[in-house]
Amino acid sequence: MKKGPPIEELTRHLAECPESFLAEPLQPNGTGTVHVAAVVSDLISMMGGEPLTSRQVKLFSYRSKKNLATDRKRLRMALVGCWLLYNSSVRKLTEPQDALRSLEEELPELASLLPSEQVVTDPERREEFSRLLLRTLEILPDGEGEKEAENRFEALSTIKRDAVVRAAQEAEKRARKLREELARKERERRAASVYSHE
Amino acid sequence: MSELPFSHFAAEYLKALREHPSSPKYNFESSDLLTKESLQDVKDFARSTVSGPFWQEGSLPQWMPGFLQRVFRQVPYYREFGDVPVDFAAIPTVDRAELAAEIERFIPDDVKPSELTVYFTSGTSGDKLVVPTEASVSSKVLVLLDRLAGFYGQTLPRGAGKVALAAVFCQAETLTYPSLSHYLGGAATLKVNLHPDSWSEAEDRGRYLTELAPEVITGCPHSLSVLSQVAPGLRPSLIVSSAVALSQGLRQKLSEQFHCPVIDVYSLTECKFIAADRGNGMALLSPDLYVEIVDSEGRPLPPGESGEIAVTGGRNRCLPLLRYRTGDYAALQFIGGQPYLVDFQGRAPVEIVDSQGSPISNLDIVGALRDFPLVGFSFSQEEDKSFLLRFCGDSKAEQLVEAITGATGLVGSAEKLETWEGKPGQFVRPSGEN
Repeated sequence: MKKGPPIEELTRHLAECPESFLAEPLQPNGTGTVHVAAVVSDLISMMGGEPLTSRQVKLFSYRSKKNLATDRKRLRMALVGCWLLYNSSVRKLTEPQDALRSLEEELPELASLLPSEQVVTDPERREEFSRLLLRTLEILPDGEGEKEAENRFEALSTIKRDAVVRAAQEAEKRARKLREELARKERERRAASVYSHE
Repeated sequence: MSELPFSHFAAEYLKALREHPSSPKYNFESSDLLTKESLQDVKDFARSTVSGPFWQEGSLPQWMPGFLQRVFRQVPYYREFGDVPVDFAAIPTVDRAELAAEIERFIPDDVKPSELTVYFTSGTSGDKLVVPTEASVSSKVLVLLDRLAGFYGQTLPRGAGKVALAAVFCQAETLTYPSLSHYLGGAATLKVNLHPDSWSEAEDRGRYLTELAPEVITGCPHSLSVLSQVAPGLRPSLIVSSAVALSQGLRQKLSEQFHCPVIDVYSLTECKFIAADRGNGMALLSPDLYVEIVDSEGRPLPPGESGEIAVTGGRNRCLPLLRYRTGDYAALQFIGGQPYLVDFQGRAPVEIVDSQGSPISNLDIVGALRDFPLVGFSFSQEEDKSFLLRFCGDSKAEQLVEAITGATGLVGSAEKLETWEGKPGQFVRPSGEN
């Protein structure tokens, strides 16, 4: 494990994330403003790596019109990931292929659990995101041993996962209740009087 | 929150409407379901919302940022997308099939299940949708009808002891009832079915409606056409047609016969009245619904270019619509700050007749097919009155033919297709033209 910057340096860096890294990724229909693959490619080139291959470009683009929400979250998280990797202390300690791997493999899971803006606006999520990235790049925060760094990351991650699981359970419970209620009201034909044709 | 009561006089009048010697065979009881709070919501809608200014050409309405914040925070489907995109056009469009597939995910978190009411529609476009709604949405139609009447210097009548409105249907089956309206100060409204089976005697249709003399009549081209035959002596002050496009010829005929304005209205069950034909196009009726025209990829089109109509707005608090593709086509044009839908191509009616040549409502075919899991269908009728149903879905052709024959008496055949494109429910002429 390499010795890295203090975790506060990274959380501060995230809090200062510019608007352009929070902008709308370019959608299949041409709306949106940021070509995420181009941002990733520029970062990797700046770190001394090769520009993205066409296969890699696809990884940082919308994959399907059917999963816009999933793809949007993944791409927006990749953008914020680029901003964190752009931090000068992290950049110095990171090989371009490791940076690319972390964006490709580690961030999508986090993206599926929370919106990217939270890793900028929420202090706990900023720390979790910083620690996740350092962990995947095998960098230890300054002043922390391996075990301590792992415990702190796990603690943050567990709280979030519990919250996510609870929210998902609540959402499913409500969806079931709504389905039952709609079916019941449909059977009872519970509706206000109709005054026109539609 | 309990429903508001009506006066004794209004309730007695309602009873008299049911007990009238020429009364139809009413098959349901209904009410406006308004509470003190929801009546206030309707009054606020009447007082300020509908009379507010429309958005300027090329900009969004002032209410949009707050609406988007609410939707992205409270509606599970949109919460999935993260925060509100800065660019409105980056919000994905959604169509009826997507809404129907997981309707509960479009209901905001702050809506209590117990307060939901439900409209279910197969509609003329064929795809069934259960629409979660709240009671006030229905009464907002009366507000918009009042606004339409205002264009002709009239208002809906108020007060108990009179029939303000009759909604006339003509199909094999539909719920029918007289009702009372708090918004109209206790005045009565009727929902009647002109199909002869709904009456003890076919002549009662004309007798009942002519005697009760509703001020405003709403219907579809088919039911209004039947009305002109069964109650030619009616003298309403306004007739409103919706559901499918009203031809110029029928509009003129109805107007001449009933001596009143006849207005073609564009309406959806999901949000009710959107626009009304005021001569130079379909004028949008209220600025609480933002209307845009989009291409097949959901990109907004500039004024003057034709594309699919998409609506955004929270008129129905239980089902806020966000870039909702309606399946209807037009171009948007601003004339003196008023947005119009021009070159409107809504759901064009195709006349279907029974073996004797009498018209049958498209809704009877839709109703017969309602319970089959069809991806889509198109129905056409040959000169010899036989039908051809093309369909896509996990159903047997002979069962579909049997269902249609059972509902209409028509004979015909069905052909199964592997894939489906276009509207889920289509009524086409034998030539294949819509």
